[in-house]
Amino acid sequence: MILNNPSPGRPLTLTQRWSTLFTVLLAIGMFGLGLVLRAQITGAVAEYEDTRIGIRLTYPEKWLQDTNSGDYVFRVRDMTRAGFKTTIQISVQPVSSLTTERNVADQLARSRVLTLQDYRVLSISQSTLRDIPIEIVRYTYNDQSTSPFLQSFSTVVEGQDILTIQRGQAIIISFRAAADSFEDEYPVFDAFLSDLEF
Amino acid sequence: MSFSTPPLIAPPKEEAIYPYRRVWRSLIQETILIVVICGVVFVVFQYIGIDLPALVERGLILLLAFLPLILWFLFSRFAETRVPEPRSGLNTTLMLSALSAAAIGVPLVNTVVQPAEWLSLEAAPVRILGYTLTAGIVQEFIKFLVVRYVSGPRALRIRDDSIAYCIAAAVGYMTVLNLIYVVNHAATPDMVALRVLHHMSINVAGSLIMSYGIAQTWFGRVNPLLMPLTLLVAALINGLAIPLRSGFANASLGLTSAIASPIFSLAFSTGIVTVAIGLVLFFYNVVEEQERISRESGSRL
Repeated sequence: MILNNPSPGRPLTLTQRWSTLFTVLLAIGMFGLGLVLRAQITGAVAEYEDTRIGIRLTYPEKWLQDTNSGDYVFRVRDMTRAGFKTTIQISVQPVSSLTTERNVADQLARSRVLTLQDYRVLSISQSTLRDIPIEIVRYTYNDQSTSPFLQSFSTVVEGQDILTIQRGQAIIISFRAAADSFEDEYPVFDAFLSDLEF
Repeated sequence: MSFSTPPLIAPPKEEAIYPYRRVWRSLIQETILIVVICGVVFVVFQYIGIDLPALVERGLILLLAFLPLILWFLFSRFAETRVPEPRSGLNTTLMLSALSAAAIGVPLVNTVVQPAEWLSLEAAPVRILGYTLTAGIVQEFIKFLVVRYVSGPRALRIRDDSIAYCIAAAVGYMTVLNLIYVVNHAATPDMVALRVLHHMSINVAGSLIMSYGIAQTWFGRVNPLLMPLTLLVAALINGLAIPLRSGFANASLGLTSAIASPIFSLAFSTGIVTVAIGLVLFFYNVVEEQERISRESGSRL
């Protein structure tokens, strides 16, 4: 049995008009909720505090935290990243009263040339972080830390160190990400710095 | 001596010619062929391990990406030219759906919202909700807009028209998804077959459900909330299918071994499209039967 449209080409009925309007509103509302959910999940943070070295911070909740190393006092990595895992790391070095931030930066560059493949400093600049003078070092290197069994290319990593000297110790806050996603990931580091207290 | 026709035999019933293409038949033929072809390609490359020359393999992958479109042209579009009352605007619906997918839908989901980036570590209910509210709603809403404002109410003459236009929009959208997948991934034919089947299942299931909402709003006396409700269900099917299929296709970490089970992904996609076709066909039959009964009872009075 063929049931023809009773009004082909005629103006829409009230039900059809309301139905269309409700459908459009529902779609916009649902997508808006999706964006809210996204903001909640990506903005979720966990808190960390270390009274031994005097830092208090927040980091992305889903990142993997590691404080069990001699090279750093705190490190979080985004393990969902394919290839190089985006990393935020804090390390502390004792320094003399005459040591400046620039000395620490130069010392880091000398040691990293020996340990990191193709390490190059891109820029060194001075700035302040909440009125504390800091030295900003941007650099790049080739990361070859992935398993050799994966037979993958090495990853070009871009990094930024923020160096400052507080209470006789140099605090080195590092942010490292694959060079092609560094700018996209940088807002995470910005948020990290805005909550960091030391 | 001559014999006349016995008077007790009823005269042959004059069969009414159905002037439109039968959309359910075309849809079921296309779906069965896609499932069979993708299933055969998957089994041949996954379990038998045929090694084809690179050029032939690339050609096969492209053929798989275009498979829903080719079958739609063979069983739906060409069949439309052989009926007395063909549907107009099917090509436009398909093209605009494909262009909207390429220009708006896929960039919005994959580049702006990026649900895979932030949902991968979440619990299953959150992932389902997340995909429903992002990828699902974007995909189904774009197809709805194309059918509603491009095909328009003028094109809807019978209930089945709604299915025909919604499926045309679905074929356009899934073809773009298939092409984007094969262009951006160096995948083997078995994985492409799984992905094509997945795109087909979620798009056909979502569009069929949406078509029911549109058809009932245009031809039935229903609540104005029915069409939004069908959009919600269509988006939810996407939200359910995307994370569940990934769960089947990818290996899970365990203490023993990490073994993926892509055959479950194949069965899952086939199950989704089969259940969707069965359910929506049932609903269409119910409402048409109800209308027939009410019309016949009305004519007797």
